[in-house]
Amino acid sequence: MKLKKIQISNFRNIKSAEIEAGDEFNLVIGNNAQGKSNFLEAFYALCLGKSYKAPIEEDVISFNENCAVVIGWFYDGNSEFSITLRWEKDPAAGVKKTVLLNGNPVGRLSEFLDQAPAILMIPDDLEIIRGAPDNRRKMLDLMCCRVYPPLVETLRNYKRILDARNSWLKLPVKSQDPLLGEIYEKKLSTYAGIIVSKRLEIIDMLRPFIEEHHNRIFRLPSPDIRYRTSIKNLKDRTADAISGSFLETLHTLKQEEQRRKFTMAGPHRDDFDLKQKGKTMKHFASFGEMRSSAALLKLAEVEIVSGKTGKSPVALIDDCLNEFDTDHMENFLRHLYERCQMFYTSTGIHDAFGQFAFIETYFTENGAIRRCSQAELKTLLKTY
Amino acid sequence: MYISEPVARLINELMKLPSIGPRSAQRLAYHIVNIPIEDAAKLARAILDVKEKIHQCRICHNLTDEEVCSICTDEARTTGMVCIVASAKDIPPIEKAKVFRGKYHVLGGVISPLDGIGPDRLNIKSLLARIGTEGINEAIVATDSDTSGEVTALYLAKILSPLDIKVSRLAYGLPMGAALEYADEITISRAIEGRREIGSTPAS
Repeated sequence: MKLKKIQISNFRNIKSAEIEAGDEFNLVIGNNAQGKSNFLEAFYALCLGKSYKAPIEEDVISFNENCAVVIGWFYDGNSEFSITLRWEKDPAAGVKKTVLLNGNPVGRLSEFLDQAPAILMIPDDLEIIRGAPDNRRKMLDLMCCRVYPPLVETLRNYKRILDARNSWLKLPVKSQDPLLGEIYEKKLSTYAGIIVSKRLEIIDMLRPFIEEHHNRIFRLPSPDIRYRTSIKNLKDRTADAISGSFLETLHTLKQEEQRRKFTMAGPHRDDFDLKQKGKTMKHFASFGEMRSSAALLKLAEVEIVSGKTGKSPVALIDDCLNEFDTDHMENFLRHLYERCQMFYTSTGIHDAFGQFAFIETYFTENGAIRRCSQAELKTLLKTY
Repeated sequence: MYISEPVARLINELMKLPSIGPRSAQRLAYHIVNIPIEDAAKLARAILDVKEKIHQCRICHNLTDEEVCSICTDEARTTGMVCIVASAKDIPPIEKAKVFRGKYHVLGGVISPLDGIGPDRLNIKSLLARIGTEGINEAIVATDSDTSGEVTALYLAKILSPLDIKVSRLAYGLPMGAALEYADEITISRAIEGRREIGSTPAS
């Protein structure tokens, strides 16, 4: 799937922009705070149906304006489609958002998700490697849900039962109904079994992928990925066996949980480890190594998404590969170049860019985006 | 914008009602300002009547203005079957279907420790007493299919299992008359879990 054209108006600092995209490598160049990241945010919003970083979506509308609009025209083989996203200020609700697919309103965002798949790479991705376990769980669950959509509901139910059980544990022991406790344990373990077994499946998919591509792209020893669970004595990987072990774990933890008053084991306490030569990357790896692993996990997402939807996603890269040396950068971009349309924002030209034949360049300045000619690009490449 | 104090107070009161936002409250308030005083008095009277006359049925906790509700006193209804619902507002939709001819029991909520509602806050003791005295041999649990409704149903099943009565749960899945292509994954996976062999006799 590829973007043909995108129109943006009143989105953050972008007043009005229209871009005809190149099929392969699109490079967006500009100084700081000129609108590069806003451009990617607008693009990614088309694919998600919402902004990925604005918790209050009203914020995407430019100051002193009432309405922000992003329209994208995509094509996929022979079929073309358009997505429109509109945020309007509304005195009652704060902001009113409309998502249109080919001009028709979209009902549920979850059904819309695979319409225009995209992968976003941002500087914060490093948190997947060095951040809190929560970052890793989120990423893993997202991948699981793409491969196995009903897991969305399982995760939601797990969270609800977990919250209910935690407030039950906070009651004084004599007002805890033991029958209710048993039901919570049973329900929790059923959901936990499904969640952990799906996560293990995804880890098994990731492992060979990381091994193969890490070697090819970075020519460095590849990290080993392992799921670390709080469930004890995991004998078998089926959902039923995991549920069983989880129930036993909860029984052994009973007294301690009563003392500490929260659920101490389960998928919400699990994590995965990336180890290089037996050492946890979080503690020992260099920035470059961490970045390469984070980027590789994103590549795996590309693979998982295209395997599932049959569409190659668009890669959106927000100036986050600066830790890479020229070779790594070139290999990495080459990998994406061969698989999907790419949008790359940067403050300048990198040596590695010169190696790509089909490259379109755009300048962003003060919220305006314009295409620069091949001649301009050639002089740019020469000067750097 | 200036709103006179009595109108503002009415708007404030209306806004406390469920699904009434500031705009609807304003519209309703100005409508009430414009209606004849008799109509306004009727509305006020109807609200007070509900509060003064309506209370829970002594047997099933349904809402009634008598001591025992009209369903509990209806002799034509079968006594062996009880349908357990979370709230009195769940009874009219089931009654409308005219399929169930047994009695009801209103729990007065669902188990939700997050909201401070434990099993002890629900009308479970009176349910157990009824099963002992009324000769009930089947209970249909008709709580919602969300997690609290599900937990409540499981809890009741556990409580009722030693009593040697049949306990069932409403079926969940595809809505009647709906096209399969418009159903979402969650509904479909539910429907597949709760599938039934073709030709098997429905529980009645």
